[in-house]
Amino acid sequence: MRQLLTAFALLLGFVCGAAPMEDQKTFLSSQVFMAVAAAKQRWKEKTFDAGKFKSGTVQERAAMATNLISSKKLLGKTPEEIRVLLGSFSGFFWSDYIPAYLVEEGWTQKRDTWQLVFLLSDHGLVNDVRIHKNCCVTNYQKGPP
Amino acid sequence: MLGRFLYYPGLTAEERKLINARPQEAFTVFNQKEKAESATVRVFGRDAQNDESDAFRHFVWAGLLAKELGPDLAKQFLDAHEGAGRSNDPNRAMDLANNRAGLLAAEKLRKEGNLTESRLEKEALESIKNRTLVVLEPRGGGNK
Repeated sequence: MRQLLTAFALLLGFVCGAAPMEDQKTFLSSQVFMAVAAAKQRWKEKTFDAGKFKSGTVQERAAMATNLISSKKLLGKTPEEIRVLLGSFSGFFWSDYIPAYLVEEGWTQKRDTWQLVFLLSDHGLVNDVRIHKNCCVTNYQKGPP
Repeated sequence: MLGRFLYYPGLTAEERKLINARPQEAFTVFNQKEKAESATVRVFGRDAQNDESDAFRHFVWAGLLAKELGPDLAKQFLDAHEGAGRSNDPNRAMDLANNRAGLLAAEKLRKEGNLTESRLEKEALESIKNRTLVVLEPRGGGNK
């Protein structure tokens, strides 16, 4: 009976022109993130310090990225609290309100650009911190119009 | 379908209201947002804030929205995106100014019969070069 119902639901979806699976992907699932282990290898690991992060260079911020993630110190903060602690957002992730900080400025050497992103819960509080691929070399090489 | 574009925690309260009231147009808005972001990474190799790539993204997005929805509805969506709660924020002032420049450029190009994405991109780059767009933290790029 359950199989019949499933088949009926699939048929109904097809007849009604339901979106194909590709279109049902969420925004987050379509993004590229770097694993913490890979980031440690790439930028090494220094102890996270909010003051040093705020005044630090992109390279200094990159070195603190994995420690910041594993310490979970900033979970539960609002974007505004993140801005006060770490400074103006330098990266961009979906909207101007998601805290994001560049940790590798790839465009200067035609490499990938990476950023630290503070993902938010439905209540607007940080519930995850990840290293996100801001931009890609392959797109950049196409050049301006 | 909108799930491909939407990241709900990143929406302002004003945007959520407008999306609920105008779901069909919201789809167009987020489609154009994706186009503007793709153009930004293609031209600048990054999608950042407060710099030239930010100015470019806002200008092109505003222009594309004016092209697809007309200037009034485009402005409604753009203003909703900037929200009401950051009145003294220089970043918000920068975004609003560059949105306005994009809307005006779209109207100019429409009158000339030349309102295309590629012309909007060229206008944006020209405006950055001429320093008529607001850029708080210049990082360069986009001139290659």
